[in-house]
Amino acid sequence: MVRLTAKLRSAFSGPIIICLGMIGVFSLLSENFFSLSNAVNIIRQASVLALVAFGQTFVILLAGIDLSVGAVMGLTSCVTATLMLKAHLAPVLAAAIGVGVAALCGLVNGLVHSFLGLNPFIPTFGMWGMALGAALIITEERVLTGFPATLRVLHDGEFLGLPAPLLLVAAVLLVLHTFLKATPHGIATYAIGGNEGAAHLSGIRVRLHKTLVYAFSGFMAGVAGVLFLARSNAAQAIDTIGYEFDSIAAVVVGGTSLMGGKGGVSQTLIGVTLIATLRNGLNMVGVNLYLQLVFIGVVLILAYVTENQSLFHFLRELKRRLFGAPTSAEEA
Amino acid sequence: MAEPLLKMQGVSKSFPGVTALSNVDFDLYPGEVHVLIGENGAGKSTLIKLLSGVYPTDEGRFVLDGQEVSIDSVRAAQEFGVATIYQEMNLIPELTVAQNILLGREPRKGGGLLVDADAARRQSAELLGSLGQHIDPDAQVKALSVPQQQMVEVAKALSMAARIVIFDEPTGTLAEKETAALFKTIRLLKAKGMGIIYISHRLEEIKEIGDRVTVLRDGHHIRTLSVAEASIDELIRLMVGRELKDQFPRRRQPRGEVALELSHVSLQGVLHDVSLTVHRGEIVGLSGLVGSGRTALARVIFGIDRPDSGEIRVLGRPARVDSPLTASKLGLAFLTEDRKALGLFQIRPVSDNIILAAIHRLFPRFWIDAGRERAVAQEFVTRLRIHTPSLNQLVQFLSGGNQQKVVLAKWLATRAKIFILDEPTRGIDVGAKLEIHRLMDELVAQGTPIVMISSEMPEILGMSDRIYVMKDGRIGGEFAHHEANQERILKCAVGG
Amino acid sequence: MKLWTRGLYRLGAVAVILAAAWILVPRFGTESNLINLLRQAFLLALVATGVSLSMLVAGLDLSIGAVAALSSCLAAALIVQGHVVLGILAGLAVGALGGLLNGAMIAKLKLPFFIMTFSMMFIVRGLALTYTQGTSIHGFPGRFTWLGKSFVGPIPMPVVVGAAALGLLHLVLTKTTFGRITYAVGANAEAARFSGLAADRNIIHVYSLSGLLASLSGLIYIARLNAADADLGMMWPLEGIAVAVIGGIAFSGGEGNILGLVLGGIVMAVVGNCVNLLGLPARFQDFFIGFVIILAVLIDHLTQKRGKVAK
Repeated sequence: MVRLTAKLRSAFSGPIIICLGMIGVFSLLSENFFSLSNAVNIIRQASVLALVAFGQTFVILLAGIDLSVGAVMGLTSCVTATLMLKAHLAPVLAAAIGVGVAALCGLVNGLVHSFLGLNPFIPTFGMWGMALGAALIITEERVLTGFPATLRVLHDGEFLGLPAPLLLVAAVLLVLHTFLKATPHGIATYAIGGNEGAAHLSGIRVRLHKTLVYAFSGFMAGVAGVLFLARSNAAQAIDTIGYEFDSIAAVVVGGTSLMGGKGGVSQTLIGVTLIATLRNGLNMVGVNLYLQLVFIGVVLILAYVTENQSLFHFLRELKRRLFGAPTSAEEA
Repeated sequence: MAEPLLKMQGVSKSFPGVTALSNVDFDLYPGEVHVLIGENGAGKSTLIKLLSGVYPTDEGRFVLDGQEVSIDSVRAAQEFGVATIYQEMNLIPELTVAQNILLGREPRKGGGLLVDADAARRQSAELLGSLGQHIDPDAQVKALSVPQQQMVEVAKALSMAARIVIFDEPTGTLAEKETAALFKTIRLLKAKGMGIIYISHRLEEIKEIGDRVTVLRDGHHIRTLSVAEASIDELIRLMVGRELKDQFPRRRQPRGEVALELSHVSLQGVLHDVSLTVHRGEIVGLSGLVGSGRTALARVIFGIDRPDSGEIRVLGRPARVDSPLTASKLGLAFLTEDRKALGLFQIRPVSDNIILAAIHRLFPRFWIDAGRERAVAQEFVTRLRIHTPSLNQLVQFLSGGNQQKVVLAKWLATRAKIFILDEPTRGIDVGAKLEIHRLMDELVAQGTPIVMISSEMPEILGMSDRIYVMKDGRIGGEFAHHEANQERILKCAVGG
Repeated sequence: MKLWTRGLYRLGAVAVILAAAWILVPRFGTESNLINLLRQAFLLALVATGVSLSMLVAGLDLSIGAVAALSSCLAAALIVQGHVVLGILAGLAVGALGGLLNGAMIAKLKLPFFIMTFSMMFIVRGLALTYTQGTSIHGFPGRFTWLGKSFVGPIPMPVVVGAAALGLLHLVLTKTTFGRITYAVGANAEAARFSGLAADRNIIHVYSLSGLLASLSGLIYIARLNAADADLGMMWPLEGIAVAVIGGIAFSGGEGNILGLVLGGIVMAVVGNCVNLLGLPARFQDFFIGFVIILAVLIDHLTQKRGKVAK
C-alpha cells in the first residue's frame, strides 16, 4: 500500500495536481466549464502554444533559450498570408515557404550560437527584433485578410470526431517524445544539456547538433505560426508577440529544467495545459480580464514550486523566514 | 621486448604566448603502466590532450603499433583505441549508466533509428562485470558514488575497444580503500595487454602501480626511468630541477590556550558526538576516508550547516555559528576544497579577490578608497609571493598554486584567528605545495591555529602537531605528532 | 588595464556610429534633433538600469515595465488630486516594495529569477490594469509635469534627472562596498557566501533598487506624457536587455558598468532616430536593433578572446 502511494505520488507531479485541482475548482464555480465543448475549446486554444513550446523544450534541454519564437511565428504567418494574397500561391505551398523561412531563422540562431560561441540570449533576441521588423515591413504594418480559407481546416476541422489541432499536437507529441527518449540523437540532446564537454568527448558533433536544434525550434515556431493563421484568419505582425515568454513559462512550469539535461515534451504538454486551462477557467468563472493576469502569475509560481520543491518544504521555509526561528542568516 | 604500443617522437605544441611541449619523446608498451609526472605547467595534460585528439600537434609523429597515424580529432583518437579518463568526470549525471557507457555508439534497432535499450543494458552489464563491478546499468549516474562513477568511465573506455587508457589524476578524490580497488582494476587492464598512462601528483602511488615513470619539466622530456630504480627524492629533484630540502617545514612552539572547542557535536546522519580541541599555535590534522565527515565537520564549524546538538566554543566563549557571516565575524576562516567554485571570483581581479572577505573591516564606512585597496592587495601579493603580472589580472588566469595563495591572502586579510583548510595543496605542484606549507608554518608560529583536512598521508604526518582520525562521522582516534604513523592512522580510519 | 580596454573599444565604436550618422543622415546634427536624441538615450538608459542591476547579479528583472506601470498609476491617482510629493513618494515606494518581493523570493526562497520576475510581470501588470480598468489618468499639475517637460538651459529635465540617477548609480557601483559585493555576488554567489558576505541581503537590495529605478523611470515618462496608462512599459524588459547587452553587461553576471549603459542607450536612440530621419517607417527600427545587438556582442566577444592567455 505504501509503495502504491509512493508510485502514485511520483507519477502525479506538482503541475498535474494543480491542473486537476484547478479543473475541480472551476467545475464547481462554473457550470459550463466541465463540458466536452469547453474541453475542445481549451485544446484549440492551447494547440498553438503547445507547438511552439515543444520546439522551445528542445532548446531548453540544451541549456539554451529561444527568445525569437514569438516574432518568428508572426513572420511565418505574415509571409504565408502575403504569398497567398500577392503572389497567389497555393495555400499549402505558401505555408511551406513560411515554415521554411522560420526554420531558416532558427538556423541562423543556431549558427551564431554554436559556431560563434555567443550566449543564446543574444542571437535569439536579435532575431526577435529582425523577424518582427521583417514581418512589419512585409505587411507594411497592416492587417492582412482576404486570403483563401483552405488552411482554416487545420484549426476548425475535425477528423474521426476529434478536433484537428488535437490530432496534430498528439501526433507531434508522439514523434518528438519517441525521438527524445529512444533515439541516439534524442539522447545526445540530453547529453549535451547535461554535460556538453562530456558529450563532445563521446564523439557527438555538439555544434552541429545545437545548430539543428535551434533550426528545429524555428521550424516549430513556423508550424505554430501557420496554425495561428488558421485560427485568426488574419495576419498581423505583432499578434504573436508574447508567445516567446509563454512558451518558456510552459516549459519551465511543466518541469523541464532551465539548466538543461532534464525534462521533456510530455512535461511541457502539462505546462501548456495548465496555462490554457487556467485562462479558460478564469474566463468561464467571469473573473475580470485584467485580474486574470494576477492569477496566472500566482499559479505559475505555485506550479514551479510544487514541481521542483515540495510544497510543504516551500511553505515551511516561508514560515521560517517570516516568523523567524532565531536562525537568521544575516544581521545588520 | 615486445613492440611498443605507442611511440611519440619529437612532439611539440605551442599556444599563443606559451610553449607547452617541446620536442618530447614518449613510448608505451602493452601491459605496462607508464607514469607521467611533472609540476603544473610541465606539459602533462597537453601531452595527453594531443594523444586524445583534443588539440592537433604542431610538430612530431605518433606511431601506433608500428604505423604512423595522424590524430586530428577526438573521434580519430577513439578509433585508434585511445581512451582518456579525466579528473573531472565526463559523465552525464541525468542519464543512466548504460546510456553513458554507450553514448555516441548506442546499439540500434528499428532500421537504425531507435536505440536498442535491452542490448545496451546487456552490453553494459557485461563490461562492468569484466571489471568485477556490479552496478545497475539503469541507475542514474548522479546517484552513484565517485569511485563507482570512475568504474563507469573505465567500462566506457573498454566499450570503445581501447588499447591505451590514460588516467589523469584518478585518485584525487579517492580514499585509501577506493584507491586500492582502482589499482586492482588497472592491473586487470594490464593483464589484458592494454597500455596505461597514469598521471598523478601523489608520488608514493608511483611505487605501487607504476612500471616506468617519465618526468616532464617546462615542456621538456627530462628523463624516463623504471620505477624500481627511482627514488622519490630523485623524482622530486628531476621535477623541480633543484634540491628541495625540508619537504615539510616545522617550527614547533609550545601550545597556547584552547582556541576552538567542540563538545558532543552531532548532525543527523553525518556527525556523531564529535568532540575535539584546537590550541593556539598548533596545526591539527584531520584525517580519514572520504566520506568520514571531515568536510562536514568543517562546514558545521564555519556555520554552513547547523548541528542538531552539541556546543562550539570559539576563543573560550560559546558560539552559535549560524552562517558563514557569523563565523567570519567570530574570526574563523575556511579555505574550501573546491577553490575554483567556492573560494575565488574567477572573473574578478586579484586585488578584488584579496579584499572581498575583509571588505567591511577595511572599509567600514561603505566607501572604498582605491589607494588603500591597492596597498592592502599589494602587501599580500608580496608577502605570499603571488606570481601575477598585475593586481588587475583576472584570477582565472593564475596557476593553481597562485590561486590558492590568493584564497589564503583573502582570509589573511580578514585577520582571522582560526583557520580551517580543506585539502590545501590538492592539485598543486610540488614547488607551490612547499610554499603553502611554509606559509602555514609561519601562520602557526604567530599563534594562529590551523585545522587541516588532508587525504595525503605525508602531508598529515609531516605538518600536524596532533591528528584526529575520523570514521563514519565520529572521532576514531587522536595522535600526537611523535606517536602517529601511517598504519595507526589507517587502522583508525578503516576501523580495526 | 584589462578591464578598461573593452570600454574604450565600445566608446570608439559609438563615436564612429555618431560620426557616420552625422555625415550620412540629413538633419541629424541639428540642435533640436540632438536634444531629442539625448533625451531618448538617457530615458532608455534609465529604463535599462533595473534590468542591468539584476543582470549584474546573474539574474534578470522582467517585471520592470509592469512595476513602472503600477507605481505610476498609483502615483498618478494621487498627483491628479494635487498631492505631487506624496504621489512621487508613493510611486517610488511601490516600486521598491515590488523589487523587495522579487529579491526576497529569489534570494531567500531560491526561486529562479525567471519564474519569479516573469510571474511578477503578470501579477503586477494585472493589478495595474485592474486598478485603471484600461482607462488613463491625465491632467497633472504643472508642478509635476515640470519633471518631464522643463529644461535646464538647452537640456531637457529627463536628461538631468537621468544623468543624476545614473551618475549616482555609477558611484555606488564602483566606489562603495555595496557595489563591490554586487559584482562579487554576480561573479560567484556561492563563493561570496562562503567568504562570509551577506550575499542574500545584497540580492534583495539589488532587486529593490531595480524596482525603485523602474518606478522612477515610470514617473518621468508620465510626467512627459501628462498621462498614466496601465500599459506603460510593455516593451521595457526587452528594450532594457537590448541597451544592457549593447552596453556590455553580461547575462552571466559580474560584468559591465554604467558608462556602457549610457553608450547602449545612445546607440539604441541613434538607430531609432536615424530610421525616423531617413524617412524609413518605424518598423525598420526593430530590424536594425536586432542586428546591432548581435554585432555589439560579437565585437565584445572577439576583443575578449584576444586578451586571453592559454594555460
